[in-house]
Amino acid sequence: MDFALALTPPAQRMVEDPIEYFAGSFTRMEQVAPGQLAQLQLEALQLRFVALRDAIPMLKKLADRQRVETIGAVQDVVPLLFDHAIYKSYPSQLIAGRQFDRLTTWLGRLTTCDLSGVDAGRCGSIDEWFAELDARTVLRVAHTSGTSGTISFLPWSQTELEMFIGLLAIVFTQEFGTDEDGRGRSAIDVLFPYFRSGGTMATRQNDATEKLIARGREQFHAVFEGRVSSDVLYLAARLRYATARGQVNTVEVDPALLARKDELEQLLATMPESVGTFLQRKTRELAGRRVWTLATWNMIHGMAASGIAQGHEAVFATDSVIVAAGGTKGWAAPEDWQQTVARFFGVEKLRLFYGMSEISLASRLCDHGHYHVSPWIIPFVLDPDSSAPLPRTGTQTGRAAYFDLLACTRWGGFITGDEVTLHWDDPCPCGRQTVYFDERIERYSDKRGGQDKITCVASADAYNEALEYLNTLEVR
Amino acid sequence: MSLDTECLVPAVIRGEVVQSGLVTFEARGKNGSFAAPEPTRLLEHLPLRDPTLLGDVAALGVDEIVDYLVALGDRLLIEHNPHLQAARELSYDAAPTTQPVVDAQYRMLPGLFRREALEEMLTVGIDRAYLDGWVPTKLGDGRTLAVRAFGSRAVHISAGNGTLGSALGLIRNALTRGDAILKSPSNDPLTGAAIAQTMCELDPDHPVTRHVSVAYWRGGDDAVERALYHPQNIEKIVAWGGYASIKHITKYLQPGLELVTFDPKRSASIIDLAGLDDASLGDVAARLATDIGQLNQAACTNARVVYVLNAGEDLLDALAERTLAAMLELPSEISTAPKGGIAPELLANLDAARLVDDFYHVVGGEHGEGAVIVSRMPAPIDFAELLADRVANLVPVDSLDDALSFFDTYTQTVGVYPERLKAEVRDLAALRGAQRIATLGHACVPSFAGPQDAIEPLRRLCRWVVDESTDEVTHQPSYVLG
Repeated sequence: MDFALALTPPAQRMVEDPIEYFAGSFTRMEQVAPGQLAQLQLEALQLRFVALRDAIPMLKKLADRQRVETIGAVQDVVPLLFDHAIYKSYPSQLIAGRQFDRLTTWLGRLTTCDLSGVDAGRCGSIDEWFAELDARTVLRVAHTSGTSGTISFLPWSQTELEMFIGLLAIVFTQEFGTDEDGRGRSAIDVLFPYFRSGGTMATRQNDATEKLIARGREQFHAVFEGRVSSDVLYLAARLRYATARGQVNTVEVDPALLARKDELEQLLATMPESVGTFLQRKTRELAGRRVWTLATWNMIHGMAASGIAQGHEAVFATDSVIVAAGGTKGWAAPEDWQQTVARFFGVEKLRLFYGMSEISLASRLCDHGHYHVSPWIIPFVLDPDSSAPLPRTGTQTGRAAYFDLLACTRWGGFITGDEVTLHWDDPCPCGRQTVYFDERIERYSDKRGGQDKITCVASADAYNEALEYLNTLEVR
Repeated sequence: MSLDTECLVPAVIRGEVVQSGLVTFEARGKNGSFAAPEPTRLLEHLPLRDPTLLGDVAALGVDEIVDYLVALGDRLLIEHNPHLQAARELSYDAAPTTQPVVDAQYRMLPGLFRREALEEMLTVGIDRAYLDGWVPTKLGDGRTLAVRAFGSRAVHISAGNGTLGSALGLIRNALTRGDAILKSPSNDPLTGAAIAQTMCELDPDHPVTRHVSVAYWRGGDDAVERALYHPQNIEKIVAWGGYASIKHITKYLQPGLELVTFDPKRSASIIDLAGLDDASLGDVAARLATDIGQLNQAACTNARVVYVLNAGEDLLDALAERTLAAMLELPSEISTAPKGGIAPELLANLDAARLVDDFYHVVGGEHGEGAVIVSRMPAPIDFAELLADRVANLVPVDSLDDALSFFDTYTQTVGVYPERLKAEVRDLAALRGAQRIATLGHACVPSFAGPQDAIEPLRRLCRWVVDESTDEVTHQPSYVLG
């Protein structure tokens, strides 16, 4: 017996290595008795609070202001949950003025990771800044695709990302009730309907996916091999924001980006052809094999529709894992999009995933239409106006907030813009013991007619729009 | 009356009050709904399809119209007018401002109808001679141009962030002798109808009364708007509103139907602190607090981003502190703590800025009272578009040009301090798109006599017709020459 392990409190073991703790089993993750899980979560939260309270400067500032010194109950952390505004609280002039050294200082206040080796003063673009951070730190920063014309930077560490992908693999390759052990899972070919690399979470995950799911470069198949430029995505976000306000003429384009116009134009022109060639090749190479695809519904649907148009149907093994993220709210999804995707891949049905770039939530929709909350995530339902926590009993509708217990170099507390209905103590007929929320999730910004959030679902279109916009400009 | 006992919002069509065929509409505010006549059923009578029917009002002298409006104003004292009392009650819930501010707005309403105010509107806004008759001008080539302003048939889409908008639309329509269909805003659905009902009581057969209709339909209701917005029915759409709603209206435009827009505006201030003593700084803070806080910052004239020249960090922080303190001291009829505190999205950004003190310094905002955010960099905060609920942003700038570089066509009022700076500011600000330069502290009490949003509203509401007379002794007709 490993005495050190035996002496480690269960809560610590759960959040330091949940895969080991749950013996690689999705079923075990979902079977902890509610009372026991609540205790584990509280203890784990206390551990994170003690370790991070003074180690993350922005958290320290907030905790000092709110005078939070201890966590006695999980609700005590509510005043310390980060709003998404915190991850974009830098002035955007830092990007326009290429002051990436100051942006690095700002980022350093959101993480325990040492950024002193970063030489961002030389960076001339977001792409270069990300490359510098990747090269000199353990951070793998993800950015959102643009709320209100600005983008958030989320300081994930490589370890945190890999843990998350490892868990996603277990949650989505297994069925509840089978008690498999995913630790010995063999390699699965990964089909990815977009760029192999990039700064948004969807593409950020790919290194870890290649390592842990594809188990090697040969088994990772992305439609576009290159990297989607974060600078172009940022331009796209600003353009969409400005267009919605009739202010497109006020969007300034970085000359360095404009200088790459020909290259980007070339890329845009060859995109449809690339998809065609890719599908021709891969449907042959991987026919009958089990594949893994995790992406937003519209990306998966786009690939599937092109495949069917080329005459490919039921191409892969029936146990292929097709995970559609993000929901379809607010987007004109065709009625039969799931059937189209299932037909192309040859699977019975899709596995639906609710998560967000900020935390390691790996919520999978059960057969009863409920998204169950992963045990390493503490959910909260807040009053949408006052942000006060609603009771943790019964059924509550309000703003979703979470504490991600796996976050160990950044702060796991996060307030979403989503309205959810969460069931605290009404057991789900599917047998899972975890709390769950209804499938219908709405964004407050949509409900209140406020600012549109440009979600990751839009990024493919937005990218093309930005490229097209660049093509209308002259190189000065 | 409270909204849970569903409030009735009648329609008024040319002197007749319509209270039947009611359907329920969702109201702004927390208390649900109101009932109003089903708008598509009004469509048959709403537009004045025969434009010659404007002849009755065209035959009135301007003096008669002014007399009518003055008499109407006398009946708009809130103490004695049950229609306005009902409208005010509804506004307590639906308006973006609080009860004391709403009360003050209704008390100000009769002031718009004062004879002096109306006469000034005519004098500055449109030479009244053009309304009363044909104004001749002899040209150098011997011809005489006689010009007369005729009223037009227009839909007025009012803003609901203040109660004066509907009244202003009705006054402008009366003075120009047009036919108005007033579309009430959802956050003030009853004030326009209340004034129109008062007109019916004043004189139901008076031509001015007979050329006013007021109705509510949901903005963007295609069934109503497609039928109504047509050159056979109206010549103009006068619209206040945000970008999306104005953009929406543009799809109905066609030759013969023009849009007069008071489109979305933001206002700013420019303050030079050079050589200011302590007392003067207090004066600046009080003025700025008024421009930020009046009407609880619900108006387009309110200061939001404030550009400050010649201020170091300490001075800027002091101005922020004193401005917030002065705002909290404003009398409740001018400003109160905002209804429901600071909007959640703005508050989240404000709280985030609070944690980033090398870029921002945040004063206040912890009790929903309002706040001042000082930028350390010479540019407005990225969430400047969200500024409301008595939250302003002080931005240090090195030069006037730096401040003006942030102005554009959406910049309405620029509050300026000190006064001598205005001479320097006004031409440059105007060229960049700004529309009104005001003395700091007076941004939110615009005169309605002059232009608005760089438009002369009375002139724009008219159709300008010309009669050209040619002296054939000196100018032979073309057919004779041919």
